[in-house]
Amino acid sequence: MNIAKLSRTTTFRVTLVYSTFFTVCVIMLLGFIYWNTVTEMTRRVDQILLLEKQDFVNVQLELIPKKIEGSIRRDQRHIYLYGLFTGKGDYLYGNITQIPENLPGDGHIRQISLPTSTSFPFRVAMAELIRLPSGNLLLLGHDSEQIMEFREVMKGAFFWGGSLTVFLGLAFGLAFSLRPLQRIEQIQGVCEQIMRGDIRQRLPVSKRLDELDMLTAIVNKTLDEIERLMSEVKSVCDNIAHDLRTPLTRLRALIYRAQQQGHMPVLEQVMSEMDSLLLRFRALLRIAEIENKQRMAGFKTISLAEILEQAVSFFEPLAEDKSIALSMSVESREIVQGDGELLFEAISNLLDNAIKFTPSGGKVQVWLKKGAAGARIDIIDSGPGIAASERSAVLNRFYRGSGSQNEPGFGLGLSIVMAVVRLHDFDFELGEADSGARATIYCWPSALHRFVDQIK
Amino acid sequence: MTKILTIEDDETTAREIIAELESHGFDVDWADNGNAGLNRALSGNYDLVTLDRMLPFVDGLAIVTAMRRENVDTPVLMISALSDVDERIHGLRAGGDDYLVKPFASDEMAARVEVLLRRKSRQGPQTLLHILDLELDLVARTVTRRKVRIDLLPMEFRLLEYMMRNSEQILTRTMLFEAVWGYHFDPGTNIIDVHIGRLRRKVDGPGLPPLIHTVRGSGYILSEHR
Repeated sequence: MNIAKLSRTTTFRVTLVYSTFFTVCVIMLLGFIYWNTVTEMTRRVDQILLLEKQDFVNVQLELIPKKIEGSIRRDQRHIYLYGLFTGKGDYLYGNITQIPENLPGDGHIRQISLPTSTSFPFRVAMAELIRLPSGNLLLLGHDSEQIMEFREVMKGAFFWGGSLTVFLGLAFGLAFSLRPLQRIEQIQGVCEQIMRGDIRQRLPVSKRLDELDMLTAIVNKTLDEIERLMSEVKSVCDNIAHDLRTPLTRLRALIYRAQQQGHMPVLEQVMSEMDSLLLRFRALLRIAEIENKQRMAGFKTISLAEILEQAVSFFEPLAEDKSIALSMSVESREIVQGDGELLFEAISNLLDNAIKFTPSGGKVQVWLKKGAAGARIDIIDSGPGIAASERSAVLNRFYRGSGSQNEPGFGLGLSIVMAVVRLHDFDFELGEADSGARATIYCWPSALHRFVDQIK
Repeated sequence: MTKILTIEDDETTAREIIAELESHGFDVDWADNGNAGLNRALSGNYDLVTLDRMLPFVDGLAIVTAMRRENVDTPVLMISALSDVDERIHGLRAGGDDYLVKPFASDEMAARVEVLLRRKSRQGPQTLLHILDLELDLVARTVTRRKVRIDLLPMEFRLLEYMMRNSEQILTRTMLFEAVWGYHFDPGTNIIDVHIGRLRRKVDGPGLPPLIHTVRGSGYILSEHR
């Protein structure tokens, strides 16, 4: 299960929207706290400075240095700045020897930064510069590093809190999506089985009876109905074939008896017609039988090369009679899981067709090669081939290609091939070769075949 | 006279079987349910049993299993509507000697009965088969006609061997396909005829009395009397 798939789920998206919303709320809350705190802290410092200013303004001018000295002494935490300067800015008295640049003497409180050369335990302060009636300048200041520190702390809180919320949002989103996605994949797996023909499978319904379960329950009901209808249709078809086959067999027996007693050549003709009719019914029932077979049950490890060799030697005399060169080339000795008898039957049908539709003097080649994901069997003839427009139609029961009207055959051979191929979950393709027609069986799971096709 | 027991619950099918077997000169008894069939089959008084697979009371498989357990080795031809290969294997494993799928052509059924009867009467393992001047050596795997060696492909050898083992009997195309190639579907076209034709060209050379004969509508027979 990959992340891309997870991230497309509804649960994930909902979780993501919620976590974004939550992040915004958290940031707004933090911002409010920050703004409130900073305002309050600034207000306090301002208050302190205002009080100090009033203190100094009421003092006689010549006593100011003394007051400064007293104040510095009392300031044991070293958080106050005091400085007395001449009107031109020259140092007279105090613990700060220079007026910072960005502090004009207008009496407003401003934030200043202290040069690194000074020995204060802080670098940032709030300060005011007051012009005394004597023309001198008085600087009063208070440590405001706390505000700066608080600002830094809040920045960190914004960053980490935000990241954590986003990260947790994603993580929870993925975690919450996992379970629904697993259920979807379960459903997908079951659906694939159903598509492969196992209509008895049902989608899993959990005990929670949530919205997904409501949906699967409906689909399951639909499948019940489809299965019922399918089995009805199938049993009707099979019964027709079955019911017709029995009276035909009896009829044949009667004619046979008449023939035994009368030796009439007409009866022989009737018998042979009857036999071909019976053959047709047997083929129909055979297809039903193959399709009914328990999937993959009774499969064995079989060598395709052996089966092909057998089939080629079985058809060799027929080809020779028609002066057709039947050849085989084995480039791969692949082993597959399958039903050897049915595969032989399928290959026989293909070889029979190939020989039937190849004119005298032509050739039929059988190849066993290594394909994209397993063995592939090609049967290539030098016959007229099948028009691309007809290729899917010839796979239907009873269809006979336009070139085949004069050939014996019941149009059921390829249906048997299809039934066998489907049972094995292989793929079958009719195409063209340099010389004529090509019939190919791809001996690997058909889903993989479609995948390989897509890659191409 | 050869006695055959037919265990079959469907009357029409039973009549069909009996009529065909009687026309071949057999004496046929009919049991229309599993219980009666089992009792008579266990008596051991028959040369062959034709056995329906699905019967009231006792199943066909149970009957053949019981027969083999009681050491009754009468050949059994199982006749069944179940045509699946797995069903065939079940039937043969339980002790059936051959398996015919319903509905069947009566001449095919009779031909199979004849082959089973012949197999039973055969004594000991043979190493040399011969008919008229045709000889087949099972050990050396050679075939000669009038002492002249005939080269056969492995499949042709097996085909001739089967026909010689069952000479003077009609062998249907399906029987030949089953016995020689070991598959149980209908090969459809005239491919068996082609194989026989090839064998015939090798065995019945020009100027020699033909041994392989076509039985119209049914199959082939290897015989010196036609």
